[in-house]
Amino acid sequence: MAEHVILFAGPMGAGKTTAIQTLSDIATVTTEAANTERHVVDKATTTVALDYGEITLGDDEKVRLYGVPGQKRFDFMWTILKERAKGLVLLVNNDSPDAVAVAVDYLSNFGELVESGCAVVGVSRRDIARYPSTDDYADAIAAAHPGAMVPVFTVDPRDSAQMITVLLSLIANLKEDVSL
Amino acid sequence: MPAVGWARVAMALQTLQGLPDAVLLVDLADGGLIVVDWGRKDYWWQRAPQAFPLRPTISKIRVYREEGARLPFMLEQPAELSSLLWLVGIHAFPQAPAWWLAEGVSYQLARWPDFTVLAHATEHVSMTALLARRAYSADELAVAADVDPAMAQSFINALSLMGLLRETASAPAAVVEVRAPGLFARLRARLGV
Repeated sequence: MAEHVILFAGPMGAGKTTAIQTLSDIATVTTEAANTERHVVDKATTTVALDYGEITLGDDEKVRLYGVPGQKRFDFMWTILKERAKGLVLLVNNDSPDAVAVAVDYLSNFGELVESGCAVVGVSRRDIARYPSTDDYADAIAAAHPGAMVPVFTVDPRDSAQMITVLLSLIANLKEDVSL
Repeated sequence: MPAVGWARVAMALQTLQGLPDAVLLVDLADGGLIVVDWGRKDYWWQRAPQAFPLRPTISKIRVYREEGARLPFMLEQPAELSSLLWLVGIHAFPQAPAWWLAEGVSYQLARWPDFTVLAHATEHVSMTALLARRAYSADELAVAADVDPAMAQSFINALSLMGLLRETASAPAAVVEVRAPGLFARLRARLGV
């Protein structure tokens, strides 16, 4: 069985669970629990272990979609999963404080994927907050990772066409996937 | 050749590249008005039609290059300029290079476009990924991406107008190898796009 692991990371409430539900062929496996950090994000539940979904490409090939917990106290999970990951979708809320800095900080935890062109950033809630712009993110990421060109997209994690564009852009950017 | 329609608008927009601030107003013969805030990368279209007009008649273009030039306060809810630059760039020079593009030049990607706000085809994504890896002329890009040369050229035109390309001296012709479909192609087929 060929498998391609794609991670969905980002702060709590950025839309990781929704994005995986939007893309997955199967009913997603979601492990949510009461949010104990409502002072950070006003959300009743949050992912405490993993979200999981998949896209089947045939009898012997799957794209596995893992949502990793947004709270930093679970960052040991990132270490476990990123070793298997082919690519990273980082989702950030544009209306959160210091959203650009948050994106750069998260990407620093996945430096190998970023430097090898295996990461994309999806900026959610731009309908609520237009700024910072996607160029602001791209500028900051380019400054932190010179030589890496990380695509930055406006996203609504509920929108399947948008999430397909994000996923296909990530896959197209993989150096190993020379046949487009 | 006189610039008409979107070519005229594209030429006016191209002169703004590198400027920190400018406001451009485009009067259309149908009574519509497009206002571009170059500094904020926003635009506003009064009486915008339902569909993007492919062959508009432009009555007048006015450009204000003053420092700090901004959209007037009463113009609420502007749209992202990139989406206008994309459409103008795609449609301004049908099957021909944009008039500011020189011959014998190859292009490499400087930054990915925000595709989710652009009316794009999957081929545009694959061409972008190719340009992120190395420089191509429009013809080479068409071959490498297996698309119509006119599509590759209009794509180069649009990315150039959006300021997303770097020019390089003409690179050696790309070697196009026949390979088994990659993950991108399999995923694209599976997702039906």
